Amino acid sequence: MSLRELKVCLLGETGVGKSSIVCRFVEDSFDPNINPTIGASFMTKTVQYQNELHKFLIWDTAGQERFRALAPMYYRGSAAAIIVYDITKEESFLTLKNWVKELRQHGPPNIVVAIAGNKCDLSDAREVLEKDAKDYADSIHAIFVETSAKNAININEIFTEISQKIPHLDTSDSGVRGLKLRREQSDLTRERTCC
Amino acid sequence: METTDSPVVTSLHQSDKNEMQSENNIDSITEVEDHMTLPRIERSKETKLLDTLTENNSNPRYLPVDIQKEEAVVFDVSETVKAPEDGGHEDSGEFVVAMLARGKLEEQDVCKRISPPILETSLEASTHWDEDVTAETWRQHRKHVFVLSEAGKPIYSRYGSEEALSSTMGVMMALVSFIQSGDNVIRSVYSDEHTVVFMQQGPLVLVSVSSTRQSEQQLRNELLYVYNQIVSMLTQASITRIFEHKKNYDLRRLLAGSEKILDGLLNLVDFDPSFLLSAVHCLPIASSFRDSLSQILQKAITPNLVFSILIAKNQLLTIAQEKMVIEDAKLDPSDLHLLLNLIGASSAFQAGEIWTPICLPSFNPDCYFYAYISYLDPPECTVCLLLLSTDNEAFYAVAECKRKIEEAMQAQNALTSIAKAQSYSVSQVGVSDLRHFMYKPFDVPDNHHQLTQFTSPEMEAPYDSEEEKMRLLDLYRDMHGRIHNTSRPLKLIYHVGLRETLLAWVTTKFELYTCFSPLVTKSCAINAITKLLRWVKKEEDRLFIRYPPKYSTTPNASKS
Repeated sequence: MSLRELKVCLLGETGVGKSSIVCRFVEDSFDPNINPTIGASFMTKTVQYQNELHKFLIWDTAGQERFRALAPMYYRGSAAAIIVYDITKEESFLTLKNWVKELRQHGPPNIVVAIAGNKCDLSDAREVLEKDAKDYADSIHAIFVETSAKNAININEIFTEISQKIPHLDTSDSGVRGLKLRREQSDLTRERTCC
Repeated sequence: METTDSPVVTSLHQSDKNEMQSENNIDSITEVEDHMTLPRIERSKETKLLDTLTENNSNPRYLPVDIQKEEAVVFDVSETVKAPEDGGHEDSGEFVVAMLARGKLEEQDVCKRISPPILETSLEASTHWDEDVTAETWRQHRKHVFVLSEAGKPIYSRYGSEEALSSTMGVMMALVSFIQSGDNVIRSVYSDEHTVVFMQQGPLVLVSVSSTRQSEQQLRNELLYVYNQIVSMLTQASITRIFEHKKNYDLRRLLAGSEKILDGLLNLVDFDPSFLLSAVHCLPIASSFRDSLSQILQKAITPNLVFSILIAKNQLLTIAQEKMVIEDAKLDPSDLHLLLNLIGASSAFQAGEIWTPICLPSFNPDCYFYAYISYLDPPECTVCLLLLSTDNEAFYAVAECKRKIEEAMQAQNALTSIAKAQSYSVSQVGVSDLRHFMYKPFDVPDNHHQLTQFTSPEMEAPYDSEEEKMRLLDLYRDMHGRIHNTSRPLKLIYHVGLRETLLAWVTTKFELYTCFSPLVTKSCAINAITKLLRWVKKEEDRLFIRYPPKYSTTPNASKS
């Protein structure tokens, strides 16, 4: 059985549940008091897909504004990006649209985009209609699911769908080997003049 | 006008309710400006009684000589000063810099702070963002710390939400700028109950309102730590640039989610004497074991790796450093404290491998290192590896170093040995009547590139409750303040109290603070110290990192 490494990054506003989704996927656990991610957290999980093993190399990025400029470092060379919003916060859906734009402009050309409307267990406080999000996702040919990291709804599914949508092994192998995180011309990194 | 009770805080609070008043009223405090600096000088007179046997008083009162005048100052200011126009609610959305481009304010998320489980103390819960800032309990906190921008915009408050305190912070800023307009700098205000210390760092103003009786220098030092922790997240250069672009920028946008790192820092500052002594506390382990850990770090290297740090139970196990880098600039204990606090304050590091930019302000306040942070013993998460690189692309290479380190440690069963390592009991010293001590040597070999360290036993009964711990630390802080008093430094203090006797002694070779039972005699104490020094000498290989390991990862000597 062949092993494929798939680099996936999670993007989205702070507090929407990116780390919780990863935590649920990788460790099948949920911590309601999870701390905000600092920088980015790297985790892996291997799952079987048809006759291949897919090893997901997951970059869970921090949503906080001060880490914004680092995002390209993580999404460059990614096979897929999961952009997460919180269905109870319309604001986070607007942020998601900005992420899509950014990926279109600066991301890898064939990147698979998946949109996750997280916290679907809190439908009482819903601010983003499922249909609106679905329509938007369709318009940009993105995968769309509503998820709940808390109740483990659609978490594995989103990764399976990514596996499905990733082009078959040939040209677009996006394994880690040979992948270069290039330097970003941003405020943060430009100052790297240490030593 | 109220009388002696905490005029500063009281009046600041009053100003919350006061409607903003017209700007020209500020003129009315002109005549009191000169008094601002007076009480501080007077204060040191009080400390003359030092080496005599003083009454036990853990919080000796240094009453400023001219309290009357001082109160006048505070009150005039608070009642006449104009709060900044925006009251902290202005949206800073127009500010566009590439890195900040989108996303609305994350202020709502500020409210979602969770208090750090580890650092929670029973004396004062650590996060009070939703606290009622008009309540008496808010005013009674031992030490408030505020950070604001030059425009008077709140950036951080230890207790209470920044929004609720925006007019209070406005008053603070008004005080600062008023004194500034007279070509002067406000440093501190003393009242009966409180010491208010102001510190300006670039576009940020930091204010400490303390009832702890710590010296101004100590409080200033603590504020510097707070400033440096902010710099460690944003760099000084970017803070400066942001405020050059827009004076009333709301810096909380960039610090969102980091409040608990600052909360954690202030709790550590209160409970960990490392900050007071500006020295690092190592976990005592056999020197041969420390050496083997050091060798493991020395072998797992990759280009541009500059620091490899192994931490257990929030104390240093060993630290390997890049030769060239460390010759250029020494790693300051305070930078290490900030790193330790960062790791301790957030459980975010317990999941996966973290890769994040971090600035070491004392090393270079304007640039980032890239930190690889990973626990070696999940799920317990007590042993943490920290690898700092200058290359933001080095994640995979650095992660490979971690694998090597992990393997080598497994081969030696090092994690089990680390788990057994613990701080020591004062009884091991074998000196009766000695209850606790802090020893900071200056004569470590290879001093130039050595981290300043100190050693100290566990705090045991009667200092095993939070209150008693704090009381002993307060006594130490008081001794430290007297020893390092700038106008009248001391070398030796013998302090007899009701509940304990303290002896502090500074020589060219060491700085030592000891705590004895109250019945000890002076000659007994001196004997005990001789024994203690002998013991430390004998144990020093176990207590300290004697020869900090180095490696070379920059083959070509060209460095930017």
